[in-house]
Amino acid sequence: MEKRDYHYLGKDFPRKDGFARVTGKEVYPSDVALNGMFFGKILRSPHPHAKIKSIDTSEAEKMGAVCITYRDVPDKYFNVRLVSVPRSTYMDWQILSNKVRQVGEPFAAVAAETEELAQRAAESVKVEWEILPSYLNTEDAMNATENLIHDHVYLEDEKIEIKNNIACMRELTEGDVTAGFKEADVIVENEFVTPRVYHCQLEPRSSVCKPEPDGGVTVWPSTQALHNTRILIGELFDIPLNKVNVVRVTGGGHFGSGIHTNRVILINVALALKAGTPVKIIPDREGDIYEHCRYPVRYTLKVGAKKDGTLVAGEMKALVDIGSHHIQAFAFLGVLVGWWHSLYRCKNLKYKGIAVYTNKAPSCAMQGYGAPQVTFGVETTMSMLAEKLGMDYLEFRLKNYVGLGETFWGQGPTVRSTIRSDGVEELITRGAELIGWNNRQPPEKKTGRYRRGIGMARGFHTSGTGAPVPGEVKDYTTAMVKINEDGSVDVLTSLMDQGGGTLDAAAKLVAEELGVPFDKVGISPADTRSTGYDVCTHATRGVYCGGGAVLEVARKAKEVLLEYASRILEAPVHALKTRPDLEREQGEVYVDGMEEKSITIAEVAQTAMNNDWGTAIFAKSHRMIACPPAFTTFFVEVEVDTETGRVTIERVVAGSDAGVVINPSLARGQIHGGFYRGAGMALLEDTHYDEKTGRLTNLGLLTDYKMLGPEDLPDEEHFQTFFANTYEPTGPMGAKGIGEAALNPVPAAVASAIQNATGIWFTKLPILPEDIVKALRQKKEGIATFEPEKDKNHTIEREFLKIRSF
Amino acid sequence: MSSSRIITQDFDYIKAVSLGEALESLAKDGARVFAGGTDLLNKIKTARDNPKLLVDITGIEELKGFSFSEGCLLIGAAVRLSFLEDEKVITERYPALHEAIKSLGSVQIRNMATLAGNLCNASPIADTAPPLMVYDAEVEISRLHNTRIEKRIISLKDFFTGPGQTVLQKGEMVTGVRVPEPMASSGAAFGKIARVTMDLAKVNCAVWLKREEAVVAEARIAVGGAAPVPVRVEKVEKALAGMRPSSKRISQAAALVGENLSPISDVRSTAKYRTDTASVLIRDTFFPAWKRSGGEEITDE
Repeated sequence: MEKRDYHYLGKDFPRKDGFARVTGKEVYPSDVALNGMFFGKILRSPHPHAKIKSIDTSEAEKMGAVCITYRDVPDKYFNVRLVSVPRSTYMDWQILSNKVRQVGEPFAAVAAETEELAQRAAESVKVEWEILPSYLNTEDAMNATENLIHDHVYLEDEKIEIKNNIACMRELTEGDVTAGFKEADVIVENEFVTPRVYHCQLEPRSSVCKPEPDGGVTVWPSTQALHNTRILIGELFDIPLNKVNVVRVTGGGHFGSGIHTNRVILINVALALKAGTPVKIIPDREGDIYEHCRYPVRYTLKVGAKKDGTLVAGEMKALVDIGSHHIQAFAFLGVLVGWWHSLYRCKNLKYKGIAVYTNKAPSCAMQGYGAPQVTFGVETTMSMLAEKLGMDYLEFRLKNYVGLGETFWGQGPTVRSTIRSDGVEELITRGAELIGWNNRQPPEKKTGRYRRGIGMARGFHTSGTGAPVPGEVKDYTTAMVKINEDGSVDVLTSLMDQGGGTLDAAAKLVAEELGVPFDKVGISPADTRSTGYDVCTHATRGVYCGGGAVLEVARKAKEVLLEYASRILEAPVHALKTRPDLEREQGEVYVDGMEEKSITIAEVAQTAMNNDWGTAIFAKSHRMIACPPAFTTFFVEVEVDTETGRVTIERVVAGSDAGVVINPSLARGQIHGGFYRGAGMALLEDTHYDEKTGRLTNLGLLTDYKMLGPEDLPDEEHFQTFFANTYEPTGPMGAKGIGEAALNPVPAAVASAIQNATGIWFTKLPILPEDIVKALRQKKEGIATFEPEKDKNHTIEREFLKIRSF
Repeated sequence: MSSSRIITQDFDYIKAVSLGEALESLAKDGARVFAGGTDLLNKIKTARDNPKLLVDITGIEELKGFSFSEGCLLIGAAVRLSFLEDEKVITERYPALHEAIKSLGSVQIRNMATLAGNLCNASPIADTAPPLMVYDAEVEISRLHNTRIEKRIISLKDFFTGPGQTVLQKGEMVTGVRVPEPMASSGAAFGKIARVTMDLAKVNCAVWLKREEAVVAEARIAVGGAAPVPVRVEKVEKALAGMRPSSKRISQAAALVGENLSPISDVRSTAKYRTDTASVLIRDTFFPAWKRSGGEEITDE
């Protein structure tokens, strides 16, 4: 298959849900309203670590509220994230427990006729607590031998004892690292620290549940994973899946926080079942902020290279503070090494990763799933090595990057495929031209208060988690395509659209394949009873895997259509082609070479119906057998005010290799969006806990969770985007993903620009003005790398030494 | 367990139609003035305040007054910031106040919030406090004595007594802000350092200068966010008075600011950073103030 001229791919159309979105008519979970609906409120722990001695809900019940505590929910352990296979899914969650493991952890819930009454009822619940020692950092957590956050967890049926609050570990060795480092002419070693970013999706994770008369439930949740949510509800509440219907509602933002089934959904189901009436829960922001955050990673990275720039050895030790629960940290430890392994070629590698429980919000996937964290350290290290070797950053990268024909690890060590499209060189070369890389001056040449710096970083994200051999992660999508009696088309899948236009892309692929006008392809409402399994819209798999499945099914539906048409046109199926007839606003089937012999798709469908041949329809599950990297490269220019430490982003040049681009404007929008969150991670976004109270220092309020605003970002004129001219042979009509790739290199690129302006490599994110001012002061005293203040006894090495099994 | 979605505290609400009615209500226990509500409602939602009565003053005609006459700007307590932000008198004659208002919150906040409310909330980082302090603003405080309305006027610099605290007594409210017309050959500017553009300040400041020829005759400088209340920094003011400005001399004078400050470290910044950048901010704000006073461009000598 090769690139060809497309009718719809690569062209902009108003998005199908655009009108509803901009006019406020789109229905989000918080808009769902049902007759007799109660409002639910979640009670959250005021303590970081405590047991419930007694809980009294009688006042609330007197007020007419329905209450649930740990006594009212199924006593089962589970994991909220079901994208991995059971053998690598640790289970430490209960819907509600008599033990709380963080401030903000739900321990009870109430539902009442109005939201106000529910809030009043919630406030009337009395709890007696037994306070336990709490662990707000990994050091304290790993020192603990009793009063652990979890005493044991489950892996399938196996009960696993927890020691020192260590949730899980993972290691990997390739080649001989000791021998490798002996060959090295230069070695760079640093410790990197990345922040505990809150997803801050516009809509707090909300849910509506209606108990059905047949004992089943219908749920309208905020989620990225309809079917996993259904499966979990069925399993926990012992309801056969044919009676669990999870409905697709447009999400008010996810950023990865909806890959797992948020506990609010499960609490919602338990409440509705007890109340016997529909219940809606919209958490407040100060509750939602305690529910999820990006995995913060602290890691050392040591890499050696020879004089000619060849990488010879690398070693990474990572410590991940996962908070109160496992949202599949085992998988996360795997991707940390996977992303590193796939960035640059190196024969000798050693990796150890540890995930540690603390009494904080549970960390989970967020746009990039570990890649922004790893890319920050790896890209910084590559630039440092290049500098030491006197090589240009770009030359050094082009020499070492993992590209065409090499192996890419799409989701940790078990998900691997061969790279078949590679726009890296184009991205680097063209990006360098556009930013003016050759005129870039070294930091020593910069003087004065305001200093400009140009930096760069590259990276990627996987397109889905498919591979020739299935690994730890499930990956397939089910779709149905149906050609209606008027020639229009319905497309049915349980894919979610995170806002990037995934469903529009699916519709375009179908329109292109069937030769039907884009307007005539509709995305059907979806729920879990009418769709087949889809693992989840995550891992930048929407267009590549989801689109791939939809296209495969469209081809099959087309076969049925052409078979009907061949009867009418009296020509063999292989002689038939389709194309859109824009004048008649119809698709048409014609005989190749005899184009006067044609018929509209509507006529085919009607003839088929009237003759009782049937409908041209097909449904099928489809798995992609590769995980192609969607490459990105960011060049960033900043201005640093050396007196206040303020960093202004002056200019961005962003290149993306997404294969064939389906929705150009939306793809550009994704690059802007990825940059925005990446720059926020680089310069601003983080959450901190008060070590005494265990509460967030921002008190859960957005007043003190700041994000960059439009005023803080470059305007369109100073933000150039471009796409590499590539074709992914395994992708749907040549397409790959883009979403997470648009963020992953950004923190590293911003840090690189700050280094070019100031001469200082920052190894901790976010890089705050306070840090910059301090580092510049230290630099005057001769310290070139700025490391965050830390307890000398609290080193990652020491924490690793504590673990005998390593 | 409070919630930012639902206020469960019980309180009464009255929309006063006259100042007398408002003052009478304010004499009751637990009464609070409700103007824009942009600070008060946050406090109630987060259970940091528990009022018994909200007295809405936005319907009182005499508090909606805005006038500039006889060398004095009068702003009633119910005037919204969005009304003030593009008011010609303010942009032309009180540019430091204009800059402070523009930097305060979002459009939505400014559509609700009032100038008097920003002062009465008495945050150490109230953006309008430093410019009003250097413009020598006064606040008009009213109370009911028997059935008669009594007014007293105090200088804004004496108004704040601590974070969230002012000289206001029970039954009193600020009914207006008076700002004298700036003298000829004077100029002022506002400066702010925050995490992002739309944000509360880490540090803010206002610089007011009276120029005589090429010399600073008098300087007034107020800094917010670096002490329990917005403060005038006399050390710097004295050092600037009589100075023929140069970059170096301004820096030296601004560096004295630390002696007037007692900042804290919090979720927004560190004490050290606040002290260090306060002097940078004063210096940066000096230049536009000097220019507005009609001063010639300052060169490095």
